[in-house]
Amino acid sequence: MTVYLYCLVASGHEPAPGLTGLGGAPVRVVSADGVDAWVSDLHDAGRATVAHARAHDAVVRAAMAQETPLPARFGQTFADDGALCRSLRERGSVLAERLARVRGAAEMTVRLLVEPSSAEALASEQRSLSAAHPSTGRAYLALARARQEARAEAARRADFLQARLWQCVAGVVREEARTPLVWPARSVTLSHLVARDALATYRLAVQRFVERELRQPVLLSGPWAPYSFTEQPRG
Amino acid sequence: MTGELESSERLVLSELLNHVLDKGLVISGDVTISVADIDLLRVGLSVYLTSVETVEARAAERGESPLSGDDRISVLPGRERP
Repeated sequence: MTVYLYCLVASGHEPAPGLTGLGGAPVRVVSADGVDAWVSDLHDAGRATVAHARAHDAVVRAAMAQETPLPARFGQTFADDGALCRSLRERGSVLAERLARVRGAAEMTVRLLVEPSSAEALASEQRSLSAAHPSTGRAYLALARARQEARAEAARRADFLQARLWQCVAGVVREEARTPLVWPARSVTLSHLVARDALATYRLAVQRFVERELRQPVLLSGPWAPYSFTEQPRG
Repeated sequence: MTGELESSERLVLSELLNHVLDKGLVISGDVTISVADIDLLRVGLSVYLTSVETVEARAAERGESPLSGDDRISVLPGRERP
């Protein structure tokens, strides 16, 4: 039997009666130093299946309905309640600070296509990859330079989009986090921590930005629990 | 229509997995994400890229609208091409 962790919540919020998580296991609370961990007892370690990911998210959403939690990354288990409490106590002040930081807020996520400016660069990258074995030193250097330029162009475009969007939403965003570009960098993912009572204003600002400045559709998702804001702020 | 719905559902799933599996608080415990599941994340990212193109036309018709399966996820159409 292991203790599976869904999220941490400030003390005083209980799971609704009958709430279940992975595999239909009941959700219960383990308390330590002013922080409540919402957990389930599992017979195995909770494999990463789609059904389990949905169940994990559903419990976090249930917590979110009461108070903004610190959502745990999927798949964390502890030998027993004592092991979990020791981990929580070791980081007690840090966790309390992070809970205070996200209180009353939600995460919104925006995915923007890096194209079209980098489309040519990406096409160049594709051609480079298809000609994977340059026969001369000159060809090798040209290939390396083309790859470098393509990556630099994608990074510039991502920086530009991030800055333009920030100008539109800064007034209602507490913090911003950007997922590192993964090559080939066709999209940039930006996460914003937004006060819940400002979500409508945020959505409108993003919508206006997209309508005014982009030709590609943009994926906007949220409100999520603050999955991207559980660690210390960067910089 | 079926294909579009499937694309929407895949997009919703991709977004869910990218939050639940790839982000969130990590404290000292045993994290059970295996190599196969990391591959699942990569699949999720590529699903986004292809799905967003598939739903683009419908999103442009509707304006902002939730995709099937999760009311947290919307596709906002960009401005019209000249």
